[in-house]
Amino acid sequence: MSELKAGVGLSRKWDAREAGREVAETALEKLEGEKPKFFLLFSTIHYEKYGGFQELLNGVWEVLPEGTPLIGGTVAGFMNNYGCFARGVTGLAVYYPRMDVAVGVGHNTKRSPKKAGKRAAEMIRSRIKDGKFENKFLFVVISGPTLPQSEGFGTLKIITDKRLSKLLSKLTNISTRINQIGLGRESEVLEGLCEGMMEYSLIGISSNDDNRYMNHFQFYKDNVYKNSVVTLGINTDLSIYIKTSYGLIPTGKKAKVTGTENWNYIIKSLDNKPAVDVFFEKTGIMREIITDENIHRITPFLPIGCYHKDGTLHPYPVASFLGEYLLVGHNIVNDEIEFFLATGESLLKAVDESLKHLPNTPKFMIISSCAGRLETLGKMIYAVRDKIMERVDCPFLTLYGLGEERKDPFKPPHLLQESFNVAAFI
Amino acid sequence: MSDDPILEVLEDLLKLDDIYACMVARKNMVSVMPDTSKFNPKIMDVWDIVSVAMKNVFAVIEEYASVGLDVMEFRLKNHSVLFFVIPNTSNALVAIIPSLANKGLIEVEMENARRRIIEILEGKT
Repeated sequence: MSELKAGVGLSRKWDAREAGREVAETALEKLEGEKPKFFLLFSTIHYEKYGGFQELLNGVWEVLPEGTPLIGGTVAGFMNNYGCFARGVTGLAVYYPRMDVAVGVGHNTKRSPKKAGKRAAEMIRSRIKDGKFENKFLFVVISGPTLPQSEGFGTLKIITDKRLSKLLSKLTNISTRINQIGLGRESEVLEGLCEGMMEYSLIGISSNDDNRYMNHFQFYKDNVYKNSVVTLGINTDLSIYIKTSYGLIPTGKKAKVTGTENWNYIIKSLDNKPAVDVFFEKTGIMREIITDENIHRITPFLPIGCYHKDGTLHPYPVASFLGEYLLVGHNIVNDEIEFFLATGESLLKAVDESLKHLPNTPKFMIISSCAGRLETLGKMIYAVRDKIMERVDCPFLTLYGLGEERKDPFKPPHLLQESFNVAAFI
Repeated sequence: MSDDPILEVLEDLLKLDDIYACMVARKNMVSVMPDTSKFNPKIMDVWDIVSVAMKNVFAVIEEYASVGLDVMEFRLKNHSVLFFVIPNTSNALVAIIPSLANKGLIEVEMENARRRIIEILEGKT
């Protein structure tokens, strides 16, 4: 008989404090009085205007037993046993006796990403009991990218004047390092986090707002942070199944990256030609079609991709067209890139691919996926939920953020985009 | 707090920044509509023409709802009007949003509102 108890909570109340209380109550009621080993809390950005995130956490802690390890953050939307939501707050509470947990936090992820990751890892390592359980897992929330705002250039999604390429690239770099508004640099956070924790598997999510890329938050115990990494470490005797799928279709059209900067987030040139020109040539799309309004509904269907040396596919939807340059959502990991396609159908097929090899019935699942998929699927996201519900009947959370982190034991960590990542506890 | 549960659903939807106006309507008739003072004033300059255009859209909805028409949308100036058809009623949940809105996220909440309205109409609450 399993002693594991897991509960998913939900609140759709607008008032932050009331919502915090309700999400904790609804999650904990499934634990039948057991104190949770950990609590994951994810909310949409709306509570910023309805009391604030500190009040949301205050509400949660009115109900949650003192000392419960809690991490979380803001996401564009989420899916759980109750439905699919682009507004509200959800939580996952788990009790299991054969599980040791610890939480860690690191700050200034955009200015000193590796240091922030290392700090979070040190906290986990110093706090978690070692050697008792064989299976080790990290769940991580890292502050995602934000778009710099400028009076002259707006939100820097599309700048057509090619003379401004260099200036905009420099501005992005400075804004990221000085103001911590800009690139997420999650790969470097992961590097710092994982270098001493190679035996762990990991999935995670980059925090987000409502896809405006302006402001997002991370939760750690009873604190609300920005530009931080928060981590939950789990050692347990439960088996952990990790699977990533994409649903992207390779086109066979390839190019070589011949110039990058800003930690490989900016592609300056492809095949020694301006990267923007090559993008439009290879995708066949007319550049006039893409506007500030629709860029993030179009580019997720036309991602570029490359393979890490360990064989992991890294897809990159174009985030901004900066003059001649392409700004992508995370660092390019290989010079050889290919152009991919996605369709609504292929995105749904990725869900089948991740779930079809699930061994047995999981006791609970955490899924991280791309906010771009939520934005492009819209109400069809319910088809994703239907597929999950057909396959499992356990508590689950699916989170939609600005990037997805994953790692297998003794392998390098990856920051991904346009992916669907399942962590099932069996 | 309203006594009409469908009105409550609409008022809840209207709290989203990018929902400028919403209602449940059918051809030539608004079935349920929140107090218009709660609508975003930005729609006022398109309200008259949107109202006329909606009548034409409802003619299409009335004709095709029975064969599975699910969602319609039209764009007018800087606004999009979304129609989520409520099955077997010739009614639709209608929302006016800015054309720059992240429509996918709004669609998720429109769908939740539609599902809730269907539950109410089916007497499940």
